[in-house]
Amino acid sequence: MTATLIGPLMALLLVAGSAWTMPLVQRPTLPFGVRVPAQRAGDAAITTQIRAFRTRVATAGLLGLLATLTLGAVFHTAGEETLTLVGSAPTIALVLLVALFYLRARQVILRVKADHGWYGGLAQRVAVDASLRTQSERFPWAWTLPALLTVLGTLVVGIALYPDMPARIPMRTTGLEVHAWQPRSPWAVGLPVVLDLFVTALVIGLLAWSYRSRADLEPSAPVRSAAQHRLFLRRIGRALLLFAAGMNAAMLFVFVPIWQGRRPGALATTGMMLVCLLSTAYVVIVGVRAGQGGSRIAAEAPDGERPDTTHVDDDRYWRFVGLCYVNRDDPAILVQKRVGLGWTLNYGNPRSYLVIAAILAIVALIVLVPTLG
Amino acid sequence: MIIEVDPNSEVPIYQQLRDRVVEAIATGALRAGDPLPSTRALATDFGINFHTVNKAYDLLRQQGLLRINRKSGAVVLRDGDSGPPTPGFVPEWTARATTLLAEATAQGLGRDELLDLCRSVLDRFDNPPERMAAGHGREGDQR
Repeated sequence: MTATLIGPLMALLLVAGSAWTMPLVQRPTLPFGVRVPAQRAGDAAITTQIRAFRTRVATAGLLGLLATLTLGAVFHTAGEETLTLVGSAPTIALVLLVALFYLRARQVILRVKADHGWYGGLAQRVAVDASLRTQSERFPWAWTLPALLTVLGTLVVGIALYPDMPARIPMRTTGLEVHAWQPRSPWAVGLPVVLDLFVTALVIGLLAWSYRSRADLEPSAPVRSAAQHRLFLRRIGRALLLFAAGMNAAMLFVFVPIWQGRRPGALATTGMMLVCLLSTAYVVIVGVRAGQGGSRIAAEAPDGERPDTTHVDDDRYWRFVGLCYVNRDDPAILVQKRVGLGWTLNYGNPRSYLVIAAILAIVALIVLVPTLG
Repeated sequence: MIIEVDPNSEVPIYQQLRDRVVEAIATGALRAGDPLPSTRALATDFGINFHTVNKAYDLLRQQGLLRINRKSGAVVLRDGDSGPPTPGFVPEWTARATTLLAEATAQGLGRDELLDLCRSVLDRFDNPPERMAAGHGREGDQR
């Protein structure tokens, strides 16, 4: 019973944890995806909504945890599939609740912003730091080495284990049981390594591209936010590259027993999960310390006070409750997200759909190729 | 170098871009030989059509302030220390300055007031506010 509930419980914690962390990483000028002037970023209406959102998420998360455990106890005699299904119900309810809490906070801030005329008397500007282009932040290629070397290490281990590989090895396994077997072949080693390499290359490629996307500078403090942008790229870039290395290393825990013809077992599964958890925790900590676009990094810069200038109110381009950027007049493809950390696509640019198609094709290749073998 | 644009202004954006670059050259934030971002990069950063940036760069090129090279991109061609202006510049500039001074005079600004204003603008070119001069070099990592 406990083993079956691990999946639903992890999903529940993931949803509650990321919703609870979200207000920490958002830019102070973009609470719940609503653009507010920098001069109003600390307004009581916003801080109240952030506090209320986090309290609601924490309460709902705890109730969900109790519900999952109770359902697990009630249905403990049921089959594994029924238990997984029933155990997932609180998580689905939590996702819906988080969406509701988000909408509620967003609605209140939108109303206060409109009713109190937050943009009245302020000059709306777009600020750009040309030196972010002429002396652009160099991509840390050296930091891709750990991720690439772990893939190489996986290949070396696979080759070393191959001579002693039994005639039949697990193909699909939950770690405790083996669902399908495959015959011994060089593909059993080659395929996971190639897929590892593909995913790593995709992550590195997207990150290198993100380095060249635009910095969303705050016109009331353009020099400071440009400095924060540089530091954000450096820290998040390095953290994500190390995260990729961690994920590749985690895979090794599973591959080694499989190549020895065994099911991975409790030790290997725990090792894999531990490395995954540690890597994720590391990225989350770096992300929370940096904030979206580096908004939480204390960067000293000689910005004079500019109480009358603020970022352009661009809410109308952020459709679907501030999650999707649609601007046909903007040549940018990759832009910084409003909610959460990282980047999203400009869905008003036809070339964004080419990017989506390319990524989907690569993912489909990664998912489909193993089933063909 | 920070470039700021007002998207709601009646002044066209290409004109604003051109004006900000000329001002940056006057304050010394940009010097002869300094590179400017490619038209595509600058258009992406401002979220505007790249023909708009092209238009601004073309104006600067026509005025002899910018060299646009297919290979090396846009580079500042001259600044205040690059010697006297081209022969045709002074009469052309005087015509424009005449209109500006006439506007101020018509609005009742006295001769001394007007000269003081001109002097204070020129003083600002020599001692630019920090915001304009900063951001030129690389910011160091805070750690």
